[in-house]
Amino acid sequence: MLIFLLFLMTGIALGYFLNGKNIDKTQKIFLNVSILLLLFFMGASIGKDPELFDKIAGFGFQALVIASSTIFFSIIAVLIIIKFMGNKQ
Amino acid sequence: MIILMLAAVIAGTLTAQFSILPEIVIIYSDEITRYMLYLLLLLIGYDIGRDKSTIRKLINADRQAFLVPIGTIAGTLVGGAFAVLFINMSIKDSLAISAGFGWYSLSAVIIADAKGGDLGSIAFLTNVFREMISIILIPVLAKYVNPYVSIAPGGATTMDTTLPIIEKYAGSSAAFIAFLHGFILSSLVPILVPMFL
Repeated sequence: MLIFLLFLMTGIALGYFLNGKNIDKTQKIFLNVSILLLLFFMGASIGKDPELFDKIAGFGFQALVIASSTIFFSIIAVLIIIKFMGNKQ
Repeated sequence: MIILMLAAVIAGTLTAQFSILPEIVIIYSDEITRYMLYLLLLLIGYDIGRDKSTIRKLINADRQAFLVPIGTIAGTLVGGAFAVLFINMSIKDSLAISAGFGWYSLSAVIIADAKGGDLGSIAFLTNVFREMISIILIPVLAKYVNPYVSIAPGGATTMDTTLPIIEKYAGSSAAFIAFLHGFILSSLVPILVPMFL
C-alpha cells in the first residue's frame, strides 16, 4: 500500500516541478487505453477462480443485496457531509 | 466509456474463466494489474501536481471533503446492517462482509479463514459487485450529483482500481481525496473485518 503512495507522490512531484502542460489528446487516449487494460486484467483476476459461476449461482443474490445496500447508504452519508457541512458553492 | 469499461471487466473475467487467455497471462494477471496501477498512479499524480490549484481549492473551499471517508465508513456499516432485513444472515456476518469495503481479495481470505468457504465466497462476490457497481456509478454521480460523492461507492478501491475513473470523471481534487479515502479504508479492512467475526 505504501508503494502506491510512493508512485502517487512521485507523480505529484514530477507534475509540480516540471510545470507540465495540459494533457493533450494523445495522452488522453493513452490514459483511456490504460484504464481499459487495467479493468481487463482486474476481470481476469476475478475470472480465474474456477468456481466463479457456482459462487454466483449460490450466493449471488445475498452478495448483490449487501453490495447495493452498502453503496446506497455510503452515497447518502457522503452526500449529507458534502451538502450540509460545507460552504455553499 | 462506461460501457467500454464494463465490457473490459467482463471480457477479462470470461476469457480467464474459459481459459481463452494464454495461461501465462492468467497466472500473472495480479502482477500485470499491479504494474498497470503503478503506471496510472504516476500519471494521476502528475496531473494532480501539475494543477497548482488542486490543493489550494481543497483547503480553501472544499475542506469538508476530508470527511468523506467517515461518511463512507458509517454508510457502509449502516448498509451492512440494513441488508439483513432482506437476506438470511446474522448481522455480524453481514457487517464483516461489508467492512471489506470492496477489497475482495483480502476480506474474502480473512472471512474464509475464520468462518469457512461459503461466507468467504459471499464476501468475495459482495466486494466484486461493489467494485463493478462503482465503475457504473462513479461517472454518473460525478456528473449529476457531486464530484466528491462519486468517491463513496468505491470504498477501499478508490486508491487503486477505481482511482483512474474518479480522476477522469471527477477531476484532480476529487482524485486526491479519493486516494486518501482508499488509503484510510484499506488500512481499516484488516482491523474491522476480524472485529465483526
